[in-house]
Amino acid sequence: MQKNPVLKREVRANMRSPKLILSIIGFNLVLALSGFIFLAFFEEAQPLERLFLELFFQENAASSMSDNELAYNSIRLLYCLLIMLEFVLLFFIIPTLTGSMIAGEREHQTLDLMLTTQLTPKTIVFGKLLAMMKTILMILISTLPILSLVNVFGSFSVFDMIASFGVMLVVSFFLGSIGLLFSAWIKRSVPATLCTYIVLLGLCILPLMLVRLTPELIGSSGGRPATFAYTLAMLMNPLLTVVCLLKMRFGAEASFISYLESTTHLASDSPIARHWLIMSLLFQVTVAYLLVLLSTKYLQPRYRRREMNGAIKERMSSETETETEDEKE
Amino acid sequence: MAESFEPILQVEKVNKSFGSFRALTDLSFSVNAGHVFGMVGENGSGKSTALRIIVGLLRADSGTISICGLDASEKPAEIYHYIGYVPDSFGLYENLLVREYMTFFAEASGLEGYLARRRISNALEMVGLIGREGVYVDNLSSSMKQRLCIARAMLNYPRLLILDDPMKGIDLKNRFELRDVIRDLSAQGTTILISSHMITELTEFCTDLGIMAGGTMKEQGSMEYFLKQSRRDRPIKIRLSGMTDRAIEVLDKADSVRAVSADKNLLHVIVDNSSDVEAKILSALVQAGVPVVSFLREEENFEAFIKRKTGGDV
Repeated sequence: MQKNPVLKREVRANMRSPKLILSIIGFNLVLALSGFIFLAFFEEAQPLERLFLELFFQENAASSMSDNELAYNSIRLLYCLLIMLEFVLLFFIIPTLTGSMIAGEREHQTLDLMLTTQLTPKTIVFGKLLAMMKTILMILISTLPILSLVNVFGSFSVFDMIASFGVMLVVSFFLGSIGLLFSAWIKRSVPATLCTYIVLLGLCILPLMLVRLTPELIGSSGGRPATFAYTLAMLMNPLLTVVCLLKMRFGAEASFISYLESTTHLASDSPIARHWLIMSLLFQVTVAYLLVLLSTKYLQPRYRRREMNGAIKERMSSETETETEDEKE
Repeated sequence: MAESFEPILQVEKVNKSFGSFRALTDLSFSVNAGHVFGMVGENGSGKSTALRIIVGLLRADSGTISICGLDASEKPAEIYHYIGYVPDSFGLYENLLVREYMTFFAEASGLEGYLARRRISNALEMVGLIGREGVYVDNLSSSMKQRLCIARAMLNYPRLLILDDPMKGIDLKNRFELRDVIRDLSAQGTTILISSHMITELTEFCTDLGIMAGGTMKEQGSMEYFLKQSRRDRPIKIRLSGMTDRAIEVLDKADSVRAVSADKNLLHVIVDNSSDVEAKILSALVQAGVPVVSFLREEENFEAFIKRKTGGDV
């Protein structure tokens, strides 16, 4: 991975930029403050917590919970709140990170220079994406202590933390690939970032709104199942993936499957519905990979071919040998 | 300088349009090995487009480009090994050190380890930036930044170095430094294709010149040829105190005189270019008893001459 010069340079530049430190501080500050506010106003917020629990996780069970049971579930709710916050923060950070990745190179006219070297568009795009992933990885790792504090209360296992960490990484990869596509396609950083926000917002909110507001549009009216395309849109929805993860952790998988049954064309016993989390993650990784490949199309200088690397490496190795021999002499 | 007539770059009938705008029309020219070829032309004449096509960043609609005998569209892998390209902007990563910047491009060019380090130090030495490896790119002067760009382009020891308006935005003092760098590179045998609007500078180190206008190469030749042409077209201004008709009569008979026009006592004489033409004419007039008050070969600078050629605002 470190053989990729673009990745090396990006990581080096990111490390020097105050943006990374500010992102990490900001990210953790928001999580810590939210957790603090949640715990500080725990007593006052109990009715609200009951409402959230009923709405999202335990349905009718929350109203009959004792205060102790509610307290136990509230900690789990805090964990979910932090995970959702993490997702929202990533949702806002990733487009700003990726928007200028290719477009910024174009604006500074450094892209042309890279394209007149042996770097292929694929190397450039993957280098950029991996650099973004490294940044996200650092941010996510930095949040582990805060999430671990919730873990102290015993509501969640280490496995839960690993699972949420993995889901966040995959979702970031997916969101990043969309940002990178716009950065490669649109020549300027700011419009590329704005377009990424609009598309991501549409991707997360639109399918959920459509099924509520205009079910006819997605073909699910009158008891008919929704179209396959709508199911795919739901699979691509990173917000739904995160909600699915949390529902599973709360043991509310059945309610999630019934939600899928009522909104998509899937039956409750279909493998996709039963393994929604894995399926959606796999689907998002595949789509992300295809989007990255599509991004490389926008970087192709016309004369370049993929086989160029092999030809030049052969030539360089023969030259290296000659030069080293010259030097020895 | 290595003298050779083997063309290292050959551009033949290249056409390029952007929508309805025709940027290049049947552009043809060649650059011989070891030469410094200057491309001049007014803004929008297609210089940068031509260079971007040559380095493969744009695709020509038609025509062929061969570099070192290889067809650029057939052998792109080989071509990238032979050329170094400096675009009209710096193209720098300002948050990197000079060493890091060079290392990045060395690795991007497939150079590693000892070879990369050696090439980097050689390239920096060529442009006089040795000892500045630990400086942030952002802290370099404009001239140093431009020299760093050239060093980057020299990393793969290109046979053809392509410089797109390297003097742009550089002050006079730094321009001299950059000119010396280009001269040194040329002296070391690097073939250079350079586009610039600073014609006066080009005359100092170019061996060949191509004049572009309207997306085509209007005229191409050696610098000597253009300098001769510019001298030949300069008229001699002769101011007399009288005997204008007699003077015209004498001048008409002179061999090297091509045209004479008179404005009262001021004569404009166009002559063929020969070494002692001024002396011959003056001598003939004096011998004929014509009272010559002043005798002056009009100075037209090379820039004005090129401007006249392109009919534009070079």
